[in-house]
Amino acid sequence: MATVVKSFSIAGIDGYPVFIEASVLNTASQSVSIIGMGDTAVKESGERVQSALVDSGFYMPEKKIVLSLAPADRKKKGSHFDLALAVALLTEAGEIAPKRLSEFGFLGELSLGGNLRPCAGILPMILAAKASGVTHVIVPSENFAEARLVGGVNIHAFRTLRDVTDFLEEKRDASGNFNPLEMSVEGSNHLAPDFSEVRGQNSLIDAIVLAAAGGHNLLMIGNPGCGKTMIAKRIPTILPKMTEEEALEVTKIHSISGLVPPGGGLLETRPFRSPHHNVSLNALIGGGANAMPGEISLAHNGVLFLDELGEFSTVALDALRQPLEDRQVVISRVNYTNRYPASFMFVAAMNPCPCGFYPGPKCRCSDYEIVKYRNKISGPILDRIDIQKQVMPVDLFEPELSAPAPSSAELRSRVENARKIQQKRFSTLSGIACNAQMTGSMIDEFCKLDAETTAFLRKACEKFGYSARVIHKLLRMARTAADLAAEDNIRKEDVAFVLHCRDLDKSNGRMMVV
Amino acid sequence: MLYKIWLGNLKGLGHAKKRQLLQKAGSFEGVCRMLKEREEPDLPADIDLDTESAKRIEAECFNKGIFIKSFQEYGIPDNPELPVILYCRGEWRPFYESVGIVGTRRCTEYGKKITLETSEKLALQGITIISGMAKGVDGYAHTAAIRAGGYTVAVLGNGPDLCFPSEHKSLMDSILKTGLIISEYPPGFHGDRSTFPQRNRIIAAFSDRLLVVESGEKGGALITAEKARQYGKEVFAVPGRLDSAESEGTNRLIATKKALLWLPEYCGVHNTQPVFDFVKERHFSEMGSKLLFTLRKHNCRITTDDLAKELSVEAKDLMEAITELEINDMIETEGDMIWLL
Repeated sequence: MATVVKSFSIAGIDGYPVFIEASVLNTASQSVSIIGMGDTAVKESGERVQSALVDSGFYMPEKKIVLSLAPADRKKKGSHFDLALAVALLTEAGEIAPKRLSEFGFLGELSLGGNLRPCAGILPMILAAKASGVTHVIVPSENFAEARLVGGVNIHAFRTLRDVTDFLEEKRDASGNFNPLEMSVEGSNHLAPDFSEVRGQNSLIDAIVLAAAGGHNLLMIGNPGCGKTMIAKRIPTILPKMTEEEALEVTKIHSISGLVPPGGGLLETRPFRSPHHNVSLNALIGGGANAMPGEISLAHNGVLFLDELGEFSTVALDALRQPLEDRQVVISRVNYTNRYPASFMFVAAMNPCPCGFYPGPKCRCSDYEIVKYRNKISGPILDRIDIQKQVMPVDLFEPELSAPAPSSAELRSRVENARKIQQKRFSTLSGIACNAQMTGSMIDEFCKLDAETTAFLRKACEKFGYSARVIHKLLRMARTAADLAAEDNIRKEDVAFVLHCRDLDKSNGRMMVV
Repeated sequence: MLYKIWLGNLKGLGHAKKRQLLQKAGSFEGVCRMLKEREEPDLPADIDLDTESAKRIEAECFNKGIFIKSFQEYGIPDNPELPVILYCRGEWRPFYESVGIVGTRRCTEYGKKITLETSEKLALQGITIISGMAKGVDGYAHTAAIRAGGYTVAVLGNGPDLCFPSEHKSLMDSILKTGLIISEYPPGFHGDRSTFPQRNRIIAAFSDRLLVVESGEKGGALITAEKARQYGKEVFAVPGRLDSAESEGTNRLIATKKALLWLPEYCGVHNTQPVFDFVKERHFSEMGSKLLFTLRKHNCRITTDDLAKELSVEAKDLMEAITELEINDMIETEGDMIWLL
């Protein structure tokens, strides 16, 4: 009877068990064949396993060896089956006699010399192991920190194939092999960006706090070098701390994409992703022949920053519309459908005009050129952005700027307080987490204005020609502004503040074109 | 029309020579007949008498709504430098008074402001604004004229069916609705380095007065100014700062007495003593200007009630302005209907 060893594979962001069977057939010539719809990495696994076996001092049977990955009808990819294949082969060939093999799962790539190498997707696969009743999982030592995030499964980490087989034969115990602490990477927090380094952008920072507090998407418009990117990088530092559940989800997605550093464990800071503007549709949204999460999913629970928004292809930008609404993306292939979470704060930046210096004296762009440049950004995407803020260049030699700016921690506590108020407000409404997601009827309920403020808003909207849609956006933002001040009702000053958050609309209204 | 296109596109003959031949033969078709019969011995031998390509252009003009005006029709019969035919699109209206507004493509905020203000004020008084639909000053001149409900003419250096620069697509569409696009080049012609300066002479010839807003040391606007001077037109230039590269050309025009210094009151609207006779003629009350503006917006025809509604005034308050315009021969009325003359 063939030996069966358990390993795992990934579909979407979840793992599933893979049973690896080995059988040795009595034939004259030696060969290794791996079946079960593996990709090239799986096919080449045979060569790695043979070499690792021999280098670890085992005897390679000179017969036909068949290794099968079940379920046989699902495509599998990756090099992490190496260890399971080697253990199955050794057991079947009688080279080792492991005890309690059925309780174990195996993950890890083998080097030609028989060492274990780290691999991607550990976290979701360990979760799958737990779900399928496996109690012990053997992983490469570099993956220990990530693997032990899952409670209820015994994780054993090793450096070499020989260590693994010795352990399986109970010739040695797992401890003493290596010290997990020595492997853990300590977060170097003193190098993390902080808002206190941003000088002289107070009104912009207020707008960013508003965005972070109410879940509003943000567009920064400014001259080259005025600090748009610097500020965007710091936005994750003022978003509320991730809950453990959120952090686990983020780590899972990053693990699948191979972005958890060797030795790294739970990702505790919110992700910040800023794909270059030549990003392909699949890289942004997710996909590919073997579907992988895209940038929008890597930014899940964090910030997706698109610099030079006007340079992104219309196709890529338009594809953002649905994930921005649904907070997830569904990638459909003929054989399977993957669902990736994509709940991110959308932050974009663009130049105000083709030369980048409007409205400064350097700019020589005509209004028609500016309008054409701005029209490159798809209307539906602009519609989903609440806050449009002009970023002004700062004079670094201004002495007032040396005064300390508010730190990320201060800003974060303001954001967290405002979020708490919103959580209470929307506690009975499922699917609504923050003010930006309020529907029309909720706006009527939660954004009541007194007569004076209504008149003020009406006058301003008439002056700037704002549509009903923009007025709804203004009301949602005003609600957030009031929450930041812990006020029950929206005040006139809240409305006045959010009226300053539609700079692009105002600027477009000034354009002399027909 | 076929022979007009044929002669217009005939290579090897200058504009002046073509006019001479036309005078001799009496008609465009006559010129073709005359050349076929070799009545003009001193012409080059390889003249293309085939009208095939003219037929193609004629069909294209028909499809694209392009009409052709010969030099007798377009109102400047005696300038030998002008082409014998012009391709036109949009609305052909006789323009009593016209001001050409030209300048650099890369104008400053100052140039933009002056262009917009001047063009608007002139257009409000029924003065035709002529320019070249280039970026910068040209574009703003047309834009302000259209926004003021005025009539504007764009002279192109490429075929009348093509939009260059492409940013001006919406501008071109608006000009086609309420103004006119003219070009000496057939549809489909893309223009090159020489054709854009060439069209400047047409701007100069069509403008009664020319205003150069901003121009660098070398610029197409200076060519237009030079041509306008040659054709005996009054040329004005907007003065600028001495340290502004965009005003170098215009300041020099003024310094060398090739142009008069332009003052804002020359627009006439806020001035008690308009400088030009035509401005004096068309200097109406505020309500009168508003009325003309609204009238143009409604295809030059509107009822008194609609007009009052549009201007949010009582119909009786319009009477004075209507009479004022009527006695100045600007409008005519029949009962409630008002139309522009």
